[in-house]
Amino acid sequence: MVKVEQGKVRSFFEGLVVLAIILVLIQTFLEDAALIGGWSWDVRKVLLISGFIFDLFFTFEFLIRFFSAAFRREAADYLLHRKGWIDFFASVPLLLFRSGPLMAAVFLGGGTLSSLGGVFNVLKVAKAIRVARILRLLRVLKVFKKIKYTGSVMAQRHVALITSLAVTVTVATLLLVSLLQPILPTAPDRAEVLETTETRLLQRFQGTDSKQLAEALPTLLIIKEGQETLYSRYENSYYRSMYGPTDYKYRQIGAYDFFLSLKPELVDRAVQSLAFFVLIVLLVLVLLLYYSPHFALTISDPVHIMRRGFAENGYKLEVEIPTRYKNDDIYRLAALYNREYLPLKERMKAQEDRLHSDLSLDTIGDILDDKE
Amino acid sequence: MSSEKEKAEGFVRHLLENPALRNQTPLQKEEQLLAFLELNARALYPTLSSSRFFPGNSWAHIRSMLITELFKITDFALKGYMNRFIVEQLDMSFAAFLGMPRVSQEEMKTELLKLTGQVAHTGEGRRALTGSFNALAYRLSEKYIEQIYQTRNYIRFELEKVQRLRMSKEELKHMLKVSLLLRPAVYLVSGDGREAGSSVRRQRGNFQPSITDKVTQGLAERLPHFPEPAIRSGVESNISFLDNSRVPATGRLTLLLSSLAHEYKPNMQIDRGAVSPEKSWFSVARKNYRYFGYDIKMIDELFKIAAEQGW
Repeated sequence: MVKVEQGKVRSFFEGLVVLAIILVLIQTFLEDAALIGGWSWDVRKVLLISGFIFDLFFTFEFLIRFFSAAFRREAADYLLHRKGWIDFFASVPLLLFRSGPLMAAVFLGGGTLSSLGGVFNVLKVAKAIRVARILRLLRVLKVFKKIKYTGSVMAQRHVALITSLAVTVTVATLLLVSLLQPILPTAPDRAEVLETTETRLLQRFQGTDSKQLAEALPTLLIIKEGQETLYSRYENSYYRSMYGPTDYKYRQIGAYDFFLSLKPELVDRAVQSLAFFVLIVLLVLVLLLYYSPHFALTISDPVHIMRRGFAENGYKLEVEIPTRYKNDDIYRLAALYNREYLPLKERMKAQEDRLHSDLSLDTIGDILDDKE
Repeated sequence: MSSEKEKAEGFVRHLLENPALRNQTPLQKEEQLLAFLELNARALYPTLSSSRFFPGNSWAHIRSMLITELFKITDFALKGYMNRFIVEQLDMSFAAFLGMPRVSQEEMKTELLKLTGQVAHTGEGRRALTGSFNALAYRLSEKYIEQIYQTRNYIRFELEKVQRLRMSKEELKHMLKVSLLLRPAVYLVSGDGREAGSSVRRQRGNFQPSITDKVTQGLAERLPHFPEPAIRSGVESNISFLDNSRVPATGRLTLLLSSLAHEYKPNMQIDRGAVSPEKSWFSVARKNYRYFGYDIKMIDELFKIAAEQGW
């Protein structure tokens, strides 16, 4: 009875995880699409909060699975062989380095990132957030893990392995490039060029040429001198509806306070992130829809037919050997099975008068199990 | 006692209704059940000797009761099918083309019905009847003769030019059906004649050629209204073509169709990547033609037909 209850809880939990995985992929896509599409802050805030909730959920899921495995002394097996490392990388670092700091910024104000910078370093925190985004792509593997796309355990394992390798190598490469970007001798990216230009232009500002500065600097939103607003690109209501604490930065040069939009940079990152997301999804889909059936047709199906032929006395279907693959090891084996084993089996059957029945005890279990 | 009979019948009927046996003919089901009882005696005995079924009985007694009920059920179904098939569907007009132009169809049917009833009550005959019965039930002669006549190859040549069967395609189908029904009758009139030292094999044409005249004569006495070539076709279907190259084409075809049908499973779920059942069967038969005494040229043609038709 207790086992049945435990099974129900487990299956409910697994169902919940699958639902969360599907939703989080949609959320990941929408979060980037919202930035590119210029959706209102209220909508983006909901998406950011839901991202945080998902990260929290997956962190709990990982911790439950990890400690449950550790309790059974299977922690290493869970992490290494049951894809626990995917559960880890797709949850904990994202909560710590992305959605956690973002939530702090949303609820405590944009300055939070700066104050976190006091503890660590603003640039390092921002970079960690940026880099952690890439880890979200690993969640595609979490979905993949849950799909039972073929009846063959061997096909599932092989396709899962190749998919995990392909996605992990892609994500790791992207992660590595992001981490190494500051020390690599590459041309400065658009954000760096913009920041240099901003600094140069802001330092030249004398207090009277605000419109000229705004024309030269499209990211400039507001210029203030003490309490007085010298320039504002939009009405206050527009800022309230379209800008959140993570969408602008603040700089003080001399007596002037400058509020600058971060949206062009965020949109750039979102486009990049979306491209990576599409790349990974396409990679998985190709492996799932093309490679997986190919594997099943050319490896696990012939093996399945031969296994049945060996195991079941009454099974005598030959393996179809496609001409283009006839030199594959598996089909050379299948040719032997067709040419030697099946005829031999038929002769043996006739010689020994072997008994065979399609009925098995399993199929009449109802009558045997009935209690008196 | 009657209660035990009812329990035995109930148990047998329960097994016969198992989905694994769906779409199988009564004789196929019977074979499956006999094998099942044999293979699972140890596991079944504790349940079947419990108070719910047959307490205090030995396995031999329980098995005997179950088999008796099974035979009764099969016999009932078999008799019904044979009555319908022989009386209503079989057309004996082919006899006119075999030198018996004025023979009574009714008398032929009565004789055949009586003979199949007798065959079904001989142990080996009943087992050998399975292949023939299945071939009729699954209409194998119809579907292959249709294709044989379209392709105009070796088999048609053998039927028309070598065996000189100057009859229509439809009449040939009926002659083949009669040949299929007469094939197991060899066990009725032949106590000996089997290969020395072997037990009787259902699928193997293992009777010696020397018995054919004696068996044909014995059957002709039981079937006085039947043309001799029809009887010889059924009898010689039990002879290896390698031992006697003069086995008539209908006899060789009878052996192949009966062997194919023996474990035939209609609407079988074909695994992805597997060759279709009949094509597989002919392909395996091709490699074993010497062992079972098949005509390899016939197998080649039937293999091509099965492959082209996706059977």
